[in-house]
Amino acid sequence: MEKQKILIVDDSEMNRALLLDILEEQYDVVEAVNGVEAISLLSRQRADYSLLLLDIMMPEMDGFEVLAYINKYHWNDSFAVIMISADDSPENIKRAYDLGAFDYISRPFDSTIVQRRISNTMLLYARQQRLEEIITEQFYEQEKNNKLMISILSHIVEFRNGESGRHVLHVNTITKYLLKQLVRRTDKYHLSKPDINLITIASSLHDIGKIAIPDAILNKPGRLTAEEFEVIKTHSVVGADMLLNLPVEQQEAPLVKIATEICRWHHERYDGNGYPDGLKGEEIPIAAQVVALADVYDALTSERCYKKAYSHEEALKMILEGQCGAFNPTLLLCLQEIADTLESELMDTSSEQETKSIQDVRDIIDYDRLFLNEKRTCPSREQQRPQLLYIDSLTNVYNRRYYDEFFQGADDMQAMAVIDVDDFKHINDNYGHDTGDIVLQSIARTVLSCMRKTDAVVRYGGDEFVIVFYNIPADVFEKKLEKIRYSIDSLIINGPPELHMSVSIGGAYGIGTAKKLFKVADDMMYQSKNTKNKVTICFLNEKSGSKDNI
Amino acid sequence: MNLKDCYTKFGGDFDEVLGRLRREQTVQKFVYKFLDDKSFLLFEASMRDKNYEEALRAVHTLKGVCQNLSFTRLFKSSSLVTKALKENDWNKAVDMMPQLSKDYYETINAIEELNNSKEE
Repeated sequence: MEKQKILIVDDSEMNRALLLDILEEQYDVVEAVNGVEAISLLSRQRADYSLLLLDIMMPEMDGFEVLAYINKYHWNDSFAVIMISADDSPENIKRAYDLGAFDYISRPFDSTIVQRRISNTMLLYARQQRLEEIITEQFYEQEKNNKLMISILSHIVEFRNGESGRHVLHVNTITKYLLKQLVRRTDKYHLSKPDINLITIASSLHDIGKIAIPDAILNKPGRLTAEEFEVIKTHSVVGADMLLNLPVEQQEAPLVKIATEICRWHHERYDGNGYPDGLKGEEIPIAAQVVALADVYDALTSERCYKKAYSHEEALKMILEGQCGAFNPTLLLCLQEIADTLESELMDTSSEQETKSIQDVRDIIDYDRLFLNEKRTCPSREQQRPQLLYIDSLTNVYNRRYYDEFFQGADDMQAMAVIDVDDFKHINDNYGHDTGDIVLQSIARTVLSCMRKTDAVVRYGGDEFVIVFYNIPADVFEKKLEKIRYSIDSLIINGPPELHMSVSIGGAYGIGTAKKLFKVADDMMYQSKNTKNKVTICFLNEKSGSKDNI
Repeated sequence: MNLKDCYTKFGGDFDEVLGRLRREQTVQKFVYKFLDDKSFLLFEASMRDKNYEEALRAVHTLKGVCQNLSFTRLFKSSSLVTKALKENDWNKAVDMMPQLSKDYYETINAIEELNNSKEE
């Protein structure tokens, strides 16, 4: 084992030599002749040292100054400082302890005592550090699992209305920033850091009541009737009741209490015109007020099947003008103040993190495959077959067999896309098939991350993928394909070598047989190939059967 | 003359130092090393230049070394000077210099004598 390193700081060569003599057998000893030299050594490689022996009276920078400096920058978190001096007046010892010294050794040195003091200190420090590491690790592990649970929950709740699974994560983020800003502005709500954390976590549960809403209403593409809207509205009460039906001891957990408030009241309005209870102003618990605003803000700035995404500026303007509900004026101020943060958090970094965490969830629980077969109304005996039969082992998307068995003969397809990787042969020829495999995996993953849960991604053969879409509006179809092209164009595949890829995409939109749509999409893909990194879509006109290229 | 005789000659406590540093070789090594220690010379020069701050540090260091090596007599005189300088009592420090000097050279001479007797 490598010896632990000790730094001796003393201006007297004799004293250093004496300590060296006592310690060199057990430790790797480095010497500094004054405080300045010690600080410069430590600032360069302080992680190397386990212990510092520090004299008090020195030229340039004395021991107390060194100690104060170390304490100021928390260097003594990683090593112990032991003061040495003959001058063991109580005030000097006290001052040293106050400045963060771990212990004090007075002259004259007794070799056994010095050795034992130092080895005990090191042992204690090492033990403490190890404990700290364990605790930190456990804490992060728990945090990670918490986040994972939230991701899973978001997926389950949103799976049913065919959304990306990001909404809940976005509401989480917006809630957190709103609350942080709120406590900066006012102490009216008595929110501690743990409270903020709790409300943020609980916000994930705001829409759990939607589980009880019938599919036909929840996913109805057109406008809802008044009756249907009444059914949708029940999700708030249903969600709260679900939590109220938990065993009593769980109901009393702060998380559940807050989540119940959020579920029930996140559609109340500050002016009293919301539902279900028509609470007004501060009658609405602050947690529900914040989540309500976060919910609206994310709904506006996200793309939905029935609407485009508004820009952050537009969304902010609409909310402030009262077009989307009535909110607590203080919260509206907070929203304005965190607008820039939200824009960058929700657009850039967080979306990457979220994509990643969504990907994590996908890796663990394969929702697509768990639920898709059911939606596809495949013959039930097919569902009994091992999933692996239909999964491409390299890319983890569906394989050709799946396509052939479930889609080939279909005559009610609505939209299909064919994707071909540009210059893939070049990759295999120049970097080998292993690299080729990595490229295909990355591309498949990227395509998958752009898709809705209801779409099926198939590796049709080699470097060609097919996507089958269900119930997708034309403009969303167009945007999705462009998003895939863009995402792959922006993708950097980690090397070596670092590769940049692109795809040519052909789309076919309109009711027809699978064969026809595939043929058209394939033709369009070849048109895209002329320039590469391009999307070409053909909109089939049902009546005349003519093609409408874009 | 052996190391213990030498300690007796300059007024040190050999048993005490041996108890702390464990090995006679170690004690002897540092006793010889004391011949090269510049603290006293630095102290003298600083006093001459009336640089009391530097003088205090030097005599403080000398005191520390003496304490570690159980040079009892020299430790006592260097402690007194250190105390005087800490209290900014320059005159007192100056008054005590002859005694310190006497103790210092007695120590040095005894060590050199030991060294010579060993070489012979």
